[in-house]
This record gives sequence, structure tokens and C-alpha cells, in this order.
Amino acid sequence: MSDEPIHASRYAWPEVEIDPVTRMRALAAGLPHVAVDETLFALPFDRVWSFVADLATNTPRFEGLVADVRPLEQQGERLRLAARNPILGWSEFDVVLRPGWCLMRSRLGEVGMAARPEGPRATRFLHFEGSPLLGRLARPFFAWNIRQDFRRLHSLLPPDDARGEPGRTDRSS
Amino acid sequence: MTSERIREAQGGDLLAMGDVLDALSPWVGRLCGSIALDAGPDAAQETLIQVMRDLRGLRDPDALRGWVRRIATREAIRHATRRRREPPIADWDDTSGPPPDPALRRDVARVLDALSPDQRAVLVLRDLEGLSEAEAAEVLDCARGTIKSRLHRAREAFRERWNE
Repeated sequence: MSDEPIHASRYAWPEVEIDPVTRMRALAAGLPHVAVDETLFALPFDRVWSFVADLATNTPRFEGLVADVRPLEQQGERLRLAARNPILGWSEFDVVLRPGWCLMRSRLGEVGMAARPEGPRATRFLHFEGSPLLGRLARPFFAWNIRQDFRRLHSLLPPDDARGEPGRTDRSS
Repeated sequence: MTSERIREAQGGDLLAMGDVLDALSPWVGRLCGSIALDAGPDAAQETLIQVMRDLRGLRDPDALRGWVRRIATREAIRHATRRRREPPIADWDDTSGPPPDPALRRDVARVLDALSPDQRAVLVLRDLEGLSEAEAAEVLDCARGTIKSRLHRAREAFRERWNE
């Protein structure tokens, strides 16, 4: 029997596709100052992500810490935008945005959002928020804020077959 | 991925950390998928969590790839061994598993499934990753002689089952 190597080009080795939510969980593990939570929408991935990824229009509708967003520049999936906090005023964010993945960083805060389909009609959504300046002490506040974001998102994105019945969307963390 | 970008990620730069994840994820997915098979998703997630959590402690940014390989290989063996003791209660279902694989990939998975996690690991490190015997021995924390004999048996078993 030959002891030649098993050539990768000849055999298709099994591989795991690591989805954006799994990646974002890993990223959050390296950020001790952020709060993380997940929720499930009874809607297809495209419906959820097209809403969330429209940062200028929709972020102020569900993110309590943001009252206004203005895009400044874009190069591919890298963006710069300005966001206005109701108390602290305007700050600029560096953003990476692509399907299922959004990272935002400013001088004061860090935000992550990720989504993946769970079957044809459901979408898992992960969200983290935190501030390196405020550190771990502020985590309970950001955890609370994320829960408020989810509540608003669920009311903005009701299930197709049960509009007005929020109980039809399961929430898990 | 430059050393400078890795250093920025180690310093807590959020976007640099994202770039490191982007660069590592497909490769970690191949390592864990090939060694841990159906336990691959869990092994890959654990690997990336460990990598991001401990990245700041890595002294030499240029050692990133070797460090991640060691974590991924060990996590994959650990998850595959545990999965062997506790067989999955169901196969991949249509909605939550990985995307459908071509027939060839299924055949390879069938053949690899007949090997032990240790044999798959040495096969992946030597024949997929191209590591030397000494490097594979370091990753798996065993003697070069063990790598040599394990690899020989793994290749032999692979070919026997492939030709069945």
C-alpha cells in the first residue's frame, strides 16, 4: 500500500461554513466591556437584514441611543457615518457593513449586529453594544438597552402571518 | 493579514478584530470540518471564541497561524471524541445544517468517519495543511514516531475505504 499523501485537490475535505452570528459571538468574547443578546424573528433573512442594514433610515427607529444618522462616505463595505445621541450629540463611526454583518466603532462606543437564516422563514439576530471608555460597569445598561432595541425591532418587523401578534416571534438569548 | 493589523486587533481595535476573524474563519472551518466532521460547527465556534478571548495574550503576532492551528486541532479532536461517545440524536436536518455538500464531499466524510479523530487530525495536518512530521508532533503534543505510524495507518485506512 502506497504511503503517498492524500491530496487535498483530489478529495473534497469536509468544511464548516462559519456563519456571521457564530463569528460575532466569537468577536464579542474578545470584548469584555460589551453586552450581547440574541433574538429570533419569524421572517426571512432578507427581510430582516434589508431593514437593519438601512442604517440611515432605520437605526434611529429601533436604537434608543441614536436619534439621527448621516452617511459621510462609503468605499465598498467600509463606511463612515455620523450618528447623533440624544444627550451626547454627534459622533463619527467607522463601519463595516455586508450581508449578515455590521460592525460600528466610534470614540465612545462599539456596536455589532449579525444575522443568519434559520430555515426559510426565520432569522437569528445577534446584537452587542458597549463602550471601551465606560468598561464593564456599563454592561448592565447596554444589556437593558439591547432588550429595548429588540422590543422595538419586533414591533417594526412583525411576522408576515401574524401582524400584531408579537407572541408569534420567539425570543431567546 | 499583516503583523501590524494583528497587533491592532490585539490592542482591542474592533474593526481589526473583525478582519482577523474574516481571515481565520474559512481556514478554521476547514480544519474543524475535516477533523471533527459533524461536530465541526461546535469545534469551530469554540476555536474562534478561544482565539478572540485570548488574542491579547499572544506574544508574537507572526505566530498567530500556528497558535490558532493548535487550538483548532485540539478543539476538533475533543469535540469529535465527545461526539463519538454521545452519538448525535439526529442527522443534519434540512433547515439548520450546513449547505448541501456535493457527492464527493459526502464520500470523503464517509471515509473520514471510519477513522479515529486522532487519525483524521494527523491526516489533515500533514496532507491538507502540509505540516512536517515535527510540526504535526508539536501541534498534537506527541512523538514524531507516533505521528509517522499514525499517519501511515490513517492513509492506508483512508485508501482502503475509499476504494471499497
